[in-house]
Amino acid sequence: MRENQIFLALTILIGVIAGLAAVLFTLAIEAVRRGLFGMSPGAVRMVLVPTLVSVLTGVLLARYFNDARGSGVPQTEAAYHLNQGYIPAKTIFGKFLTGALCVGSGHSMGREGPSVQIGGGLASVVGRWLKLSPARTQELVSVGAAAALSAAFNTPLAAVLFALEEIIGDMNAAVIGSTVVASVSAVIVERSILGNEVLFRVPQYHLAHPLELLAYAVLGVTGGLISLLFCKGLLRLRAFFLSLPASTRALQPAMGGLLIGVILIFFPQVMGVGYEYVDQALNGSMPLKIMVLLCAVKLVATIISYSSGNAGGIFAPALYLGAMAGGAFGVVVHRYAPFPTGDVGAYALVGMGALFAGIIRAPMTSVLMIFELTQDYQIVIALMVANMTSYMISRKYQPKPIYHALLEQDHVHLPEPEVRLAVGVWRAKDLMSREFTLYPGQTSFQEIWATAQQNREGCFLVGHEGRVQGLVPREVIERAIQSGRGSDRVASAVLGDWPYAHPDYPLDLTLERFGQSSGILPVLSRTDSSCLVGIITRDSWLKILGQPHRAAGTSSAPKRASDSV
Amino acid sequence: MSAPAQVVESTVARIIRHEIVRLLVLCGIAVLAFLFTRSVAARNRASQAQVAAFWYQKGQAALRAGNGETALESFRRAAANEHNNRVYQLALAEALEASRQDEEARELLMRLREATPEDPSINLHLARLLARDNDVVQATRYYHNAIYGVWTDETAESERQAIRLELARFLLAHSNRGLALSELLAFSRALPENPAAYSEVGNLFLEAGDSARALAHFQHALKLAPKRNDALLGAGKAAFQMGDYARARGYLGALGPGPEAEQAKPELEVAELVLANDPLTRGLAPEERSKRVLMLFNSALERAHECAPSLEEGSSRLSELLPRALALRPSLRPYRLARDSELVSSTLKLAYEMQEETDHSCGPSTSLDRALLAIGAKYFRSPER
Repeated sequence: MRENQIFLALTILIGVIAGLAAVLFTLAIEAVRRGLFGMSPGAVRMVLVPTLVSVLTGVLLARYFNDARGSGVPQTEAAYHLNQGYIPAKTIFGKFLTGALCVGSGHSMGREGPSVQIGGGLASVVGRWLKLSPARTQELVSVGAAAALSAAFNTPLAAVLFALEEIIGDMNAAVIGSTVVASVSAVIVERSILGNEVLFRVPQYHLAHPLELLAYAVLGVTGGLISLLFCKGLLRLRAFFLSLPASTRALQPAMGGLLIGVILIFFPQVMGVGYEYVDQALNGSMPLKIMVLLCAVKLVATIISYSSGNAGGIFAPALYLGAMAGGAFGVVVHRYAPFPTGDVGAYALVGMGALFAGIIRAPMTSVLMIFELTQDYQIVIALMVANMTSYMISRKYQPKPIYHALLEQDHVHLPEPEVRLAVGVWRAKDLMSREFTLYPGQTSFQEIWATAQQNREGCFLVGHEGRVQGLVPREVIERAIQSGRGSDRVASAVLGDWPYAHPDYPLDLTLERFGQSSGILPVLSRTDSSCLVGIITRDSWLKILGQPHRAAGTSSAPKRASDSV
Repeated sequence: MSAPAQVVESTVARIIRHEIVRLLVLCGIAVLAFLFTRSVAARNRASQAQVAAFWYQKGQAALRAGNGETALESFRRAAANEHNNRVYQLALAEALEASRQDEEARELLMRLREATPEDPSINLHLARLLARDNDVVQATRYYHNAIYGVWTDETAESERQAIRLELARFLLAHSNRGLALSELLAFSRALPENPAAYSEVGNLFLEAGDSARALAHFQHALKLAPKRNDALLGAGKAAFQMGDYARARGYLGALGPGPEAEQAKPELEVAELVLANDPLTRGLAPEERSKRVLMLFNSALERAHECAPSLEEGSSRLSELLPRALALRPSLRPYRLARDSELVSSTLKLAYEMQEETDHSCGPSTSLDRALLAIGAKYFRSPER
């Protein structure tokens, strides 16, 4: 009860503090930009600034603030789902510093993602300082994240929905009330400091003809395709950077910075957040050719900035791409459509929503955000048409949302919805045995065969120091022995693709995966998907059948200090 | 440490660890953070104001150098750095207007007007944009808002006058004479005492169809500068339109060499022909009267004969007038015309009607034809005011 009473007051405080942090972050980016670029920078400065600043941030990110890399939203989600909302204070500081430097030095990235991590992190620190329960601290992280986003973007309702849709992943979360209170507090604080200025001058929207909805649907298709191009390009280039030797990690941001600097010489409009150009597209004051060019260049620049390991978000670039693509589409429709059409700016506005839905995969947040920006209900129909079209196309050809895909590239697997929502007594961690044998890759078939003859296991785990490389089926070993390749290394026969479980998998999912295995189901950590935490065998199932009934969440295995997902 | 000191220390530690205390500490941190952020924001605003001023100056310099595109871009940056600065926003609106980006200019001006609806310069710019779109009603509305807006500087009256004149010209260009006249009337009440101003207004009254007021203004201009050619021309045209051909001849004949003299030739010629051939002039001898009527009748008949073959059956009144004229012609003897004033009047009227129809059906006429029309209009139709 005491904790509940404190929580309400905390919600308001977190809203204020996270809101202030988001405002300070915005001001810091502006100050860095003014300080580094001055009034009218020349070509040399355009190249040198992002390059040299990225050298500094590269070292900071590689050595001291590894968790501060990237957007901040996936990292906050991971902290929320996998670490009970634990975000170290160091990460907050690192994110603020490197985020302000990266975005302020011209990288084509946004400020909203970092604000989410900073706000969530502050909430986490406060929750731990007040010695709240882990569950409460976890809830507070989503509250802080929503508050920070609310202040960064001046859209309190959309921020609440984003926290529910993206961070928590559950629209029925009990924390909805607190999130609303914190968002409102943050926006009040933000407006009292920065004034009531709107982020964009938004045109008056009206549907000129019912057939225009068809045009908006086509815009949604276009948005979906551009979203796909962006997501796939980002993931591929990031995979390339991650495949480079670890010794280059500190320099990779600088490589990106140099490329960005060259781009900025010709297209300074893609620098940083770029909301002033979004404003121009929304008001129909950009020629078609420029909008098409800026859309393409911004897409490339953001991919380079993000995948080379700099700190910054993709929220703002998604809106920028949408405004340019939508605006260009609007010009074409205006010229060639056989029916009356609305202003070009209206298409830019809907384009923003469509790209946001396609890239970030938060369609409801997108609709509400644009509605909050325009305060015009009429646009909702067109938005929904375009958003859902873009979302469906993006989801069909890129099933994993971008934030989740980015985490998986870092070997972090977030729990799937069916896992999170599962309500049951047993989970994989309750079944698994923590005693297992990992055969190093250099082991020969002959050596393993000596062990294999003493048991009837269907496969053997290959790996080293708790990290699993793969599985070798029994029949493969038999064939190798029979064909005289006994001295060959087992690493050469490791299966690349094999079923596994995570510790929080419910029983039904664990059973399904076990059925696909050859008798040994590895259980991998969510925070490091190559780390083996246990195995499930036939004996595991038999042991459970002999267990007496017990309360939910308790385990038959002795508890360890490192007993986490 | 002694036992009581240990008790005090553990009590203090317990208090500090208490959640309420920590909450209060958090509140204190939040307040300090708020004050700090506010001061940072104020400093940021000051820096942005400097940046905005830099870009505004650059925009002004580009405007002076005639580089509209650079000026527009510079004003955009100025306005982006200081959203609430009306001067920068207005400069941007003007630059957008100059580069024909009317849609964006209009949106910006409407937004500015929401905050200060009585601002004359905002209303004036809106009026000009709408005038460019030929939206007479809305443009007039905003011109009036500009004229009757709140002017704060000393040149308010002259600014108002200039706008009124601009509006009058706009209305005349769109053939809205009634509204243009009322603007000109208001404008003419506060004219500076110089001939150019009076001449200019005289010309506008002439364009608006108010010949009497036009003549009055030209006469005033001539009072200030008797030999001013544009005033003489204007006065001559005004008198001509009023049907006062003697005065028209007087003014037009007094023109010095120059383009005005060339312009005056048609009217001067007609005025002289009217004065030389008006059969109903007072004090004219009966013989001269009949001679003039006969000459005019024969001229009109000849023109009607030339025109009639090219007309379709029943398409013109000439098919009715011509036979009448031909039937009348044999009875028109000089001695009969000299004695019968009714005959003079009806003959002149028939000649006028034929000439009118000929002019309408077959196109431009000679100076004599125009003179006949002028004479006929004088007696058989009120001159247009």
